[in-house]
Amino acid sequence: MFNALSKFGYRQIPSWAHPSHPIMRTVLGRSNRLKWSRRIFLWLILLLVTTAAIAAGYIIAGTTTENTEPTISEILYWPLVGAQTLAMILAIAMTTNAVNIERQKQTWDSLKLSLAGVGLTLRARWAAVFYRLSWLLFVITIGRLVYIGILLDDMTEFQGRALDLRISGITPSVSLDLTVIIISLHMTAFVIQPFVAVALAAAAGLVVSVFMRGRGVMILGLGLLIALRLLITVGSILLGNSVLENIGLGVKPELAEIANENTVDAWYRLILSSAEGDQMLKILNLDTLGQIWADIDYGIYLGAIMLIVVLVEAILANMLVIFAAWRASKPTND
Amino acid sequence: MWFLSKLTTSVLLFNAILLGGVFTYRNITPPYLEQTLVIDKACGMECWFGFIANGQTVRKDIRTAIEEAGAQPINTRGTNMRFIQYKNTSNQTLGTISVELENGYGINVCFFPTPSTVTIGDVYATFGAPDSFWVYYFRGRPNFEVLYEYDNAYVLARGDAKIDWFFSEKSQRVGFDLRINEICTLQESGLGDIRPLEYPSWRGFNVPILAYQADVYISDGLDPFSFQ
Repeated sequence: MFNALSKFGYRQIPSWAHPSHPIMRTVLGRSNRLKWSRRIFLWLILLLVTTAAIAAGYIIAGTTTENTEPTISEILYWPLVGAQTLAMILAIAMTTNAVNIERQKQTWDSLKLSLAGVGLTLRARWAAVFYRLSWLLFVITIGRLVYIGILLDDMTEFQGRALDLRISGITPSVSLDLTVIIISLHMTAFVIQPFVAVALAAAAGLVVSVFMRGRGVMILGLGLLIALRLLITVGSILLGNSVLENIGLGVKPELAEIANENTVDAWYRLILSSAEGDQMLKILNLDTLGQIWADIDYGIYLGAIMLIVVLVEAILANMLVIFAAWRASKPTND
Repeated sequence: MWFLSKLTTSVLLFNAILLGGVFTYRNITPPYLEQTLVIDKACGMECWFGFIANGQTVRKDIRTAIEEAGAQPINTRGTNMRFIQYKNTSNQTLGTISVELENGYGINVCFFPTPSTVTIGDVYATFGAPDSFWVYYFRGRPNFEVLYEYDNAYVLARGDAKIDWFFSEKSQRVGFDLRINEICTLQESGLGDIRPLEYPSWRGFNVPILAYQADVYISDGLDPFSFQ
């Protein structure tokens, strides 16, 4: 069953990203499959780390919650934000030295001589990030699916009419059918966002690897990129906190005030904090969504806009990889 | 990019299936109040327990209809009022029903749920967006009313409002969990002793408002007044 699913999954990806592709095999460096004992050991470690992260999340949520006991969403929030940030930093670290590694292995020059060697190698290094971080992406996806489960459960309130109540009186008035479609788009953006964020971080690392030569410069570039990434994440979380309450408690009154004065400002805070600061974890619950829809005119379309933003990020990641491959394959003086 | 489009489509399809499940549940489950009040939608949303309180149904037929709906009479006050204890099939008391009679014919029906069994969210889930919603301060207590206008009668729900609406400068949201003390299907004469000269329109649960205020008319001869 698992093998059949794996085979089906592999059929969906391009041949150069398949683990059996010669270049990908070289990049992954796994000529032999892992022994079962080692695999079980790694899964146990993952289970242990996940449990510790959830315990830490419980302690943090206990200090911030307004309920008698923290909710599941509150408990998972900081572990998921941490896991997502870690995934992006690891993705950057894994690709920033891509060219340097080939140079150290003294294969770079021969790759440049071949027709598509550089492009394929860089693409393979980019795709390898997903294989190497599959454990982390797996955990993040499970965590996000829990949020989706909670959202669906909330929708069954009032005998399944919870959405009817939330769209009452909003501008513009929309049908329930359209609301369901938009929620579906939002959920899709929510699930694929971690993958796209990793893809973008890895692609940025790849671009840096092409431009940075020498170990010292490369480490400097890596440090700068990680610092920039952390700055964007922290800034986006703070931006989100300016208009969002704790999970499940809706939005702050400031959102309506900001939206009244300058709608663009309100949109910018919601979109940037969602896209770069994981604030979709706070937004994708029915109470918060309902208040956003009411506070901002056309706020109902946030879900569709978030999917567009995530897809644009994915396209950007793809373009960065193509650019890095093109730049790396150009003849140089050395 | 081809992989991304396939991934997005797959996840979207998966989510659509999940949401489809939720809405199948929605479409096959009648709202709580529709079941409790035994509303006959074919007859009208104001048609409760199998009859319309429009002054054309006699006491005997009303009693038969309510008993058929699973309720039992518990008390009689005078000749014009009848109180009936409502019981559901699991024998759990949900509240009481009061039918007001005029010359032996039913004109108003009220359901008084036991605490916490009915919220304004339940009213909305059953009757949809109300025509009016307003808050008022009466006998030291803040109250709210939601009003629906139908061909044969009005449906009016009343409950405890939040004190903040009267004394806070900040905008408030109408919560889904505001408790309903009483829900009635009424003729115009039963709308109440204190009511707005003009009913404010419903603006939604989450839409921030300072207050749903109204100029108020009191039927016992006092002048109309307004309050902040």
